Amino acid sequence: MAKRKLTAAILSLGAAFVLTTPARAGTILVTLPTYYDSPNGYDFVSTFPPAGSPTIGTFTFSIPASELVTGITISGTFGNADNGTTALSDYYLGYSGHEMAVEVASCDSILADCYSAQNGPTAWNYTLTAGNLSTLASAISGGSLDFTYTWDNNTTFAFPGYDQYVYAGAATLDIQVTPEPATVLMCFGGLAVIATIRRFRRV
Amino acid sequence: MQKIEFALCVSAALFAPVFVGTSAAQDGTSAVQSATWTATSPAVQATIAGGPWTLGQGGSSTSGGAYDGTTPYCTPGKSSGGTALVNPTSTVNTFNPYYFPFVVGSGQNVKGYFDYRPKNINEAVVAATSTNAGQSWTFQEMVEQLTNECPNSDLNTSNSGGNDDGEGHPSIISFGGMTWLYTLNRSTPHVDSDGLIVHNILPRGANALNPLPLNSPLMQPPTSNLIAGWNFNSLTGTQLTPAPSTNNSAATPTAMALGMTNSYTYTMSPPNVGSVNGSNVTKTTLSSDPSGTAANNIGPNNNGAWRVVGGGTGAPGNGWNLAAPLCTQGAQFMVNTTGYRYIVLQFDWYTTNQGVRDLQVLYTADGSTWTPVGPIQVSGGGSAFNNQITINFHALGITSVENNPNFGVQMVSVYDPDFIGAPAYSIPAGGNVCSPTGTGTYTAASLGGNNQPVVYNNNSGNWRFDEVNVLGTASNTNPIISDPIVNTTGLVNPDGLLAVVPNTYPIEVLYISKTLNSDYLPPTSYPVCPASIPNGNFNDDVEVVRIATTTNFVNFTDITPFNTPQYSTTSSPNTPIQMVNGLSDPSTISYSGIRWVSGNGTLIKLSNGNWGLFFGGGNCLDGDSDAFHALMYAESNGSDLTNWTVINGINNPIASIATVSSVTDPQSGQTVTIPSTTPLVCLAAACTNDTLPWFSGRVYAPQAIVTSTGTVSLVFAGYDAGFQLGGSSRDLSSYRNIGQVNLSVANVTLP
Repeated sequence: MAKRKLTAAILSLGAAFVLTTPARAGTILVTLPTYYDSPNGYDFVSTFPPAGSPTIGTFTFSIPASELVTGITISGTFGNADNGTTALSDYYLGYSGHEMAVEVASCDSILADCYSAQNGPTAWNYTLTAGNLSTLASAISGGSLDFTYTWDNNTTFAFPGYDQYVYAGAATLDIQVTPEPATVLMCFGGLAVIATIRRFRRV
Repeated sequence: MQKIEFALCVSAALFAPVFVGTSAAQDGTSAVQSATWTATSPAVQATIAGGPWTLGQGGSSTSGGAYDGTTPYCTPGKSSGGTALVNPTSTVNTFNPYYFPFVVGSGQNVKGYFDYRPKNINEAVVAATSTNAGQSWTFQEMVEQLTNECPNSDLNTSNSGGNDDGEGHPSIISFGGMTWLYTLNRSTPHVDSDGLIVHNILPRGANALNPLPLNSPLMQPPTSNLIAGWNFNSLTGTQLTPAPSTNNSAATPTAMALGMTNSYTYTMSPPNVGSVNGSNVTKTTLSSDPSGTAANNIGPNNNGAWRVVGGGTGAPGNGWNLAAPLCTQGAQFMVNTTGYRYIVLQFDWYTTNQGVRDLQVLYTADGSTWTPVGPIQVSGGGSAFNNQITINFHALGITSVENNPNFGVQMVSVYDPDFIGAPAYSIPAGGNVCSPTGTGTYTAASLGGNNQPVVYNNNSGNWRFDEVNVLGTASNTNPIISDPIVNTTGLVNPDGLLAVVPNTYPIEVLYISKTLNSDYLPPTSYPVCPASIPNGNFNDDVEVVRIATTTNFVNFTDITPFNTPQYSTTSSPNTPIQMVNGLSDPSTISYSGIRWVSGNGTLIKLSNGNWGLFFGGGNCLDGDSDAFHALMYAESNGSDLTNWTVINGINNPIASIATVSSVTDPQSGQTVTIPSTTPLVCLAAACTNDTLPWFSGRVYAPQAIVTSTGTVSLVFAGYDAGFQLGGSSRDLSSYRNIGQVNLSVANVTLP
């Protein structure tokens, strides 16, 4: 009877521990600082952004060996505390050699909040699809994802000397993880073994 | 140990599928109901950490100030001068003297741009950030200041001429990662006629106003030298051409009376004809004359002033006469400015009770052609000095007077624009107040029993002058380091932006169009406001809200439709003018009507499809077109923003200056109390006279920060009523305050 009480107490303590630390168990958060493309602005008349995708920053993280990534969400803002708007631009998660692997946000219109709201910055978020996760699988397992952007060619607003700038707020990568199936199976297997042993002892 | 691991595994397995859900989007509310606002917190004065000197550091209204307060404006301060104080961010002060906030962002983290304007000392643009939606702020950067001089007294009537007319009323357009800062050039005669000054900025963290310089191009070099001046202290008796008390010019400066020798008929019994110049020096108190001891300026005194008047031998007339053509009577001072630039004129002007009420300054660059400069100066009421009237030629962009042997100025009498009898004031198109075809009436400095100007009596009264100084900077002095002025075009007499319409291209703005002294000029010849209660001031400005678009932030196109101001005292309706409809009425003289609207409001797109607009406005009680009587709210149900319905007006405002009770409305004839209902902020917390002391004198520039779909934080500006008291009673310790109050909304949701 005392052992049963002890077991129940241990189970309760464990449950309480997990309940009170869900973030450690299920979510990994990584944040990059606010960003502006300094000092480069382009007017799309006499000056144009270079080809390629400048890197805002690299998310680095560590996935515990016993856990699986079940989902990733990335969030940020068009514009930041310096300026509430940004130039037309697209944002990506990727990795070396594949910097634009997955597009996660885009500011595509000069009439959109990202470009012309007067009370910005404007928040955005994107949840990666299963296909996106597959595309980025090697980078995820390696614990490193590059966050980059490209300039859109602005053909609507273009004046000589009127340089536009990319402003991006702090970007946060939210990685949801669960224990690997094998680990879960081991847990349940252990449970079964203990239950069996206790049953035999009771007999 | 194994049991613990097992338990953890089980628990993890059980809770692994639990994910944080997302909140469902809220459905829109009725498309027909307007927003209903409620204040949910007391209105409080905001604070600022760091930045330049604040009023509270100077002490109270009666025992301290910028010059000799607890912590003076400059360090070490007082007679030692020094440099302007810069507070560390660890120093938190009440947020004054700042006003005209312009806040960008939503939620708790926002950025604000403010007009820093210590009375008679300086004016500048300041940026600050807040992490609690505007209750407390942290200083970031100050730019475009008018001067770097230290005050030489708490009222600072001498250094820089007590000038605080620099760049103010900042507002922002953000577009594609560009930031455009607009400021109002407050210097005369640029204010409300020049385009707004445009600055392209590239904010970088704490350098929120990068790359603007600390100094404004409106700045007068602090190293100004007195080229020539008259204090009249060593002169006595008749002085037809008084000699200067100081002369550092290349020639002998001259002074003479104008128009005092004449053959006009004087209203005497019996009427008599003719006058001979009898100008003389007489002791007169309370000028700004700094020479000698302070006792010079209080009776008995020995402070001489030059009295311009007739009365000379050979004719009976007083000199000043109703028949005199415009701009022909007064005084003239000629000063050779060779070797000097950045020219400034300062003078003290005294009128007796019966002295002519209105003065215009003219200047010449060739010794013979005279051009009006600056506004019509209006006497303070008779038997009083208007001290240190300043004409900053440099700030006006008038460089022809520099390094010029033929420079001179005249101070001459002009008709009274406030006179409502006949003949009424009328100047020809083009605005030359001295045009010989202008009509009007000279009035007396002392008002009549109804606080209205009365016709000059045509037989007595005079003007006196003291401390007439022409200053300049030696030509070999380094120039001011500042940025060039770029003005908007296409905005008609802009007084500032009211709001920027989001998500538009061409970018659309609502702006304030203020035409000075024009409510007696066709087509805007509207009924004039009676003298305001209780200060007796007049205002002749016509102010409306207009709409314009721009594709390049500098050149605007006005697209305002024509609408007809409602109120007319004649059988004919008013002539339609370009103005948005329903927001204000430049013709109303009702105390319940909104005659004036001020800049720096907030435009919000509502879930009901309407535009909501928070704005500051004023009425004929104010005697001032700065539109500071109340914080109000209106909605436009169209996409063009040209038709508005006021939801919270003068009588049910969000916030108001102090109640004015039991007055007769000049339009309806009814006895009214304004506001007639309790303002929203006073329903949330106790007020006195329907206001709080720190905004009891003025309240304007509401900046609504959306903090949730049902709430805003309203940041605004206010003055203490004590500031509006004149003379030594004026309280400089609580004006130009930044305040904050929370509002919630029903019937709509916010973006």
